[in-house]
Amino acid sequence: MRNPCNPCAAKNPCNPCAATNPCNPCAAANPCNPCAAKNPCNPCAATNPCNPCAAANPCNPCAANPCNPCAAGTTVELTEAEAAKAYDCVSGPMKAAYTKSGNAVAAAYQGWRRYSRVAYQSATHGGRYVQNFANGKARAYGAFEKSGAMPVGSVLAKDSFAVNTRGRVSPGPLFIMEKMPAGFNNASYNWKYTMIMPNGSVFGVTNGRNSAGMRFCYECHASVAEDQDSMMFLPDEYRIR
Amino acid sequence: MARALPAIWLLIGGLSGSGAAPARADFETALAAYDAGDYGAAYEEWLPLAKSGDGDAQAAIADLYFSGLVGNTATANGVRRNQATAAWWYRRAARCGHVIAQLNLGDFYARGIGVERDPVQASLWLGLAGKSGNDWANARNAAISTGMTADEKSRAADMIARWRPDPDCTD
Repeated sequence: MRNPCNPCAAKNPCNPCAATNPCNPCAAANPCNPCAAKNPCNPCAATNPCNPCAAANPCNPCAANPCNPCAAGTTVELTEAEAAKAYDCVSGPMKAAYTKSGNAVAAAYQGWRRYSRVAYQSATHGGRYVQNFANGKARAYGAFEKSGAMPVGSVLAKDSFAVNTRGRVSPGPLFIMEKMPAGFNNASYNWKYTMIMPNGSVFGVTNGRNSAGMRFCYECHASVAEDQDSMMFLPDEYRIR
Repeated sequence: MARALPAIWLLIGGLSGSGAAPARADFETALAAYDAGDYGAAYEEWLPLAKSGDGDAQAAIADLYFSGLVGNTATANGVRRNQATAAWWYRRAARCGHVIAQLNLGDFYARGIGVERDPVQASLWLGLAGKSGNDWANARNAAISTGMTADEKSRAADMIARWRPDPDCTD
């Protein structure tokens, strides 16, 4: 009577005998066993839009895809006017939050040239709204795909804010890329990635504190390492030229 | 499913930090989830670390509660805004000497976020963070001290001088 596949158990959510059940938990090799409580990829969950069983699903959260676009799928969407207004409200708190870290870029970046005309939603940064800044050394950034390799000392900063389902806007992380001399880190193509949390915590610095935690950054950016010196550019409609 | 105040955990398991310490790799997994906007998954990864005494994870959990990011993910997971719980986690890390937790807790006391407004406690925690060299904490402490009485300043200074990390801290 301990048969986990008992089709008569009325409360068994994993009834493999149900003709429409695509998730037979009795199949030992079934990677989509919905009975596994800790399975984050349960395809039977009605609200899960990232069914890992669908081979062609580009949003499969189980795949080792560092650029998983699923996270952005259900974020709150703002109009440009709303995004601009939200940024006006949150830019001060963002700077105040980031400067808690003591990081020099956090204190300086809002004085740098901005290359986005309005905050836009970035699928590769968790669906948050972001703006792009670059320091003087990185002025070639304004040529976007034609900017070539950045000189050592170039610093790119991307601040971010999130909007929850109740419309509340709150600062997100500050993402920083700094071009370092050759030999700094071959895997990151000599970019130093830093992530500063909205409470001032520095949660990772390439070749520094929690360097391993920054691996997902350069693994994602590596897709454009050869052609664009690891820089992913914002959508054309948001660019300031 | 949004996370509310983990009252049962606070009463039963939260103060003990029992069990084997999770691997630091979990922190990186949490960070990747946070970056991807999956705050619910980040919470699940950070929570065991926080319970085991990891100050960074405690500060991260505090920030999730302070920010209140719900429904911003594919699974509609998240952490419901709860300032008192944010303050609780900051306090836990601050008592072990975590500088970012100290300065945020001090700021909470200065502004009355999740705790009763208390300039002495604010000055204590900001002062401790400032002693570690954090400029923001020193500037914030200087700003609030202008509104404090001489007695309040003296009490805060005395508490800073006598302060030691909690002996239960694992770090």
